[in-house]
Amino acid sequence: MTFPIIATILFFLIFFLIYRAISRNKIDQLTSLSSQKRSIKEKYSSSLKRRNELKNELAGKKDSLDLLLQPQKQKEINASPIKKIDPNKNKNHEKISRYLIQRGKITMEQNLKVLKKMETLQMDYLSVCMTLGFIDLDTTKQAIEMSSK
Amino acid sequence: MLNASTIYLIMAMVAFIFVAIVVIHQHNCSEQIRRKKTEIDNLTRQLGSKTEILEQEISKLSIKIEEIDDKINSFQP
Repeated sequence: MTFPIIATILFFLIFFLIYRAISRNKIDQLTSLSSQKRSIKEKYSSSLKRRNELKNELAGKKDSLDLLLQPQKQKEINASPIKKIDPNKNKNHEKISRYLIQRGKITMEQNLKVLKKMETLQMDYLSVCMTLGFIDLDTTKQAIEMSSK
Repeated sequence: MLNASTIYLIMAMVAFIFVAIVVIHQHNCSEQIRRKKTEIDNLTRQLGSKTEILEQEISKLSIKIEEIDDKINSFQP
């Protein structure tokens, strides 16, 4: 009767060890695969972040370049006898748009959209911004204060 | 009291059941790992191509930024 008992205990032990080894192997493999997945996602998100940063940087630099080119363009416009443009009005909304972009209240794309809509809606820059929901009332007040300085 | 051959027979049956449990467990685990590997492979392929496109965009943007920097520098005395 002793042999069957020992054999049963041994068998249970072997069964338990094999079962545990299989489970552990599975957990190890799944963990390594998960870490692989995480690293791939991190790489992608870092690339995405870098691209967005560069896009923002490019937009900022373009804006600075436009600012530098502004006097030349203004001279060209003034020299043109055909077009009569109100310089103060343009200057004002350019000033406001620059202020809003620098503060990160609107993006360059939103700025272009507002400029396009200004013609169709026949409204001033800040009103269009508010109508499109890009800025709130406080930001508008701040922009008006800034432009009046 | 059971005789020895009956006990051995029961033991053999229990052993057979346990071996079956181990085989099924092994099969389930390998199936789970296989599914996860397939998922990772697909993700790697998808995100790999997207990352490649992003890298190209990044290099183009860097070039553009350098050009604009040059222009800005040319304006400064």
